[in-house]
Amino acid sequence: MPWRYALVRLVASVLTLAGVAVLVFVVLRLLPGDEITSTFGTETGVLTDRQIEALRSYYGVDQPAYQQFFSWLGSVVTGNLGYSVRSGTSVASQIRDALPVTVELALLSILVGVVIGVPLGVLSGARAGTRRDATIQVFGLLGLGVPNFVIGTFAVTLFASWFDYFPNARGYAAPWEDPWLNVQQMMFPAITLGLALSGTIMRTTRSAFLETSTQPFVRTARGKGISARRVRYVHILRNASIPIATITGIQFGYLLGGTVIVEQIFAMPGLGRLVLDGIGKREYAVVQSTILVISGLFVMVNLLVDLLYARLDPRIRYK
Amino acid sequence: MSAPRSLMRRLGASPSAVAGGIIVALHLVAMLIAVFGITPYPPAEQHPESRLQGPSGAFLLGTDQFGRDVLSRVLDGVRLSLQVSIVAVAIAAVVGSTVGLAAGFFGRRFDSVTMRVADVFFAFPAILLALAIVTALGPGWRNTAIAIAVVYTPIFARVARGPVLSLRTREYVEAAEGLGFHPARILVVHILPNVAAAIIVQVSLALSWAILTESSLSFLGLGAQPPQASLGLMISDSRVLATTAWWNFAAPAVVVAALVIGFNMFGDGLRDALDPTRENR
Repeated sequence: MPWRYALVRLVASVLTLAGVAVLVFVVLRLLPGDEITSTFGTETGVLTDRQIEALRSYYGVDQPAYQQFFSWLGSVVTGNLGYSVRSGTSVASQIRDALPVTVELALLSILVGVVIGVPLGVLSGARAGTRRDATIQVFGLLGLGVPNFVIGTFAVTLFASWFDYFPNARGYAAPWEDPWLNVQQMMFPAITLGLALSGTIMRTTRSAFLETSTQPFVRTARGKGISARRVRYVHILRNASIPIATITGIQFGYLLGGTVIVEQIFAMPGLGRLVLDGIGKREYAVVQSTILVISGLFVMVNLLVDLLYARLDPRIRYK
Repeated sequence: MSAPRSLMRRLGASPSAVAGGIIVALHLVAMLIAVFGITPYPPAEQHPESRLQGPSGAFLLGTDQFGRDVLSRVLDGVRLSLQVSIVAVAIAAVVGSTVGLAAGFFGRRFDSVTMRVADVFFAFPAILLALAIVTALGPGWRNTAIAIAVVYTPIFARVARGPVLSLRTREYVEAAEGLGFHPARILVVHILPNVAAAIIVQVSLALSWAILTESSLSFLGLGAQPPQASLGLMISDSRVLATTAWWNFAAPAVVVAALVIGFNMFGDGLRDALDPTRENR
């Protein structure tokens, strides 16, 4: 009963997100200072007790923590996430502006990772133990081990300083406004994140490829005289696609984390930037809602990957 | 044949374990050099007369914008990265494995509650959770270590729990239960040795992630604070210098990548060596 399974997983995901909301709220309550000290800075000391009292009740921080939590949760459900104290704009609109940037970056990074990782994995798996295999494996290790902030810093320095080319300095352009500029702005961040991803995808592809190629149906296909290339790409790769899809889904979380760093390096106005700025300015409303949105994306993608299994592999039957 | 000796031979036969082991060992030496304070110069010592000098006999890896010796700072940065990562992974491994063992062994409600809590932690991109925690606690190496430990504890819990589920139905465990042994004794004497391999492998891989996380947090300015030398911070600072003084970028970048790759390779090799049923190719 796939529908029953989907429903169970959906409920579990919602419960997980509720847990995430509690955790984010609790962690951020540990922060020193509050909206008032962050708005007035050192001038807070000049305020009289009554002024502070009035401000605390204005921002709602005089209420007990659990009440603050439920009023925040209620507002999340209704989509009214409050207002940023600094800029005065609504948190919902800030997230709405930042979300497409991060989603586009994550999707393009996955594209880069798959386009580089899958062919390399097949090439190395098809000739396991040769020099070509070893070379590709070293590349995979580098992709896995060189931190994205190192690649990003290198790319920014190389292109911004040496070639005087830094498209991200011109303000973010949405793909529907200025597609060409958008591509230029997205290219290097996506390659930075995608390279690391390609290492993982390559390794998974290689081992899945090796595992599948020992199956009897592959021997049968070879015995029937089907060309090596066709066996490789049609028979083996197709059956190896499930672990590859799984690892790509799992890596989505890594990508969302990576966007925090890469958006910072390339000055892109995405969700990660929103979180970091919010942390710097102690804007609870912005930070907790943005982290919740990022985790929500992550949980949703994991759910989709789980449900996609059944489509990719009819052998999988859910209890 | 004694188990440790056969393990050493299997490790020696794995190119991944040997290469990873050598890289890790070199960095441990670097750490000791910094711990005993025998770096060429004190890491924070400024030499204003020789700022931004390239690699030379006096400064093997050159100097930064304050005339500080890059080699000494890299060595001290390695010490910091390893110190944070080792403390964090030690906490995560002990707490996480204990919880995971107990969850798998006692099952029922305790198991489902801990695993649901773990699910919540897994719903965060790791770096984001570490970032939130370290922001709440404030910067500094101890808080960075705590943040990383919190992020990786659930991973160890899950790694330890998995094998326990199948082990606890084995005859020898049931026999021990039948003999009336205390559950703690069964867990430690009969179950832990069979889970240890998985945990040890995880320690090496977790160290690799921990170094990545520590340096990323420092890079974002949320980890170690200046003038403390830290690999992430050095790379972040080098952004304005990289075209004119590339060694300020190259030295910490190479070292941090080598550390991450080294632990990763060693963990991979260890996994193959500890699990005879697993073939590398």
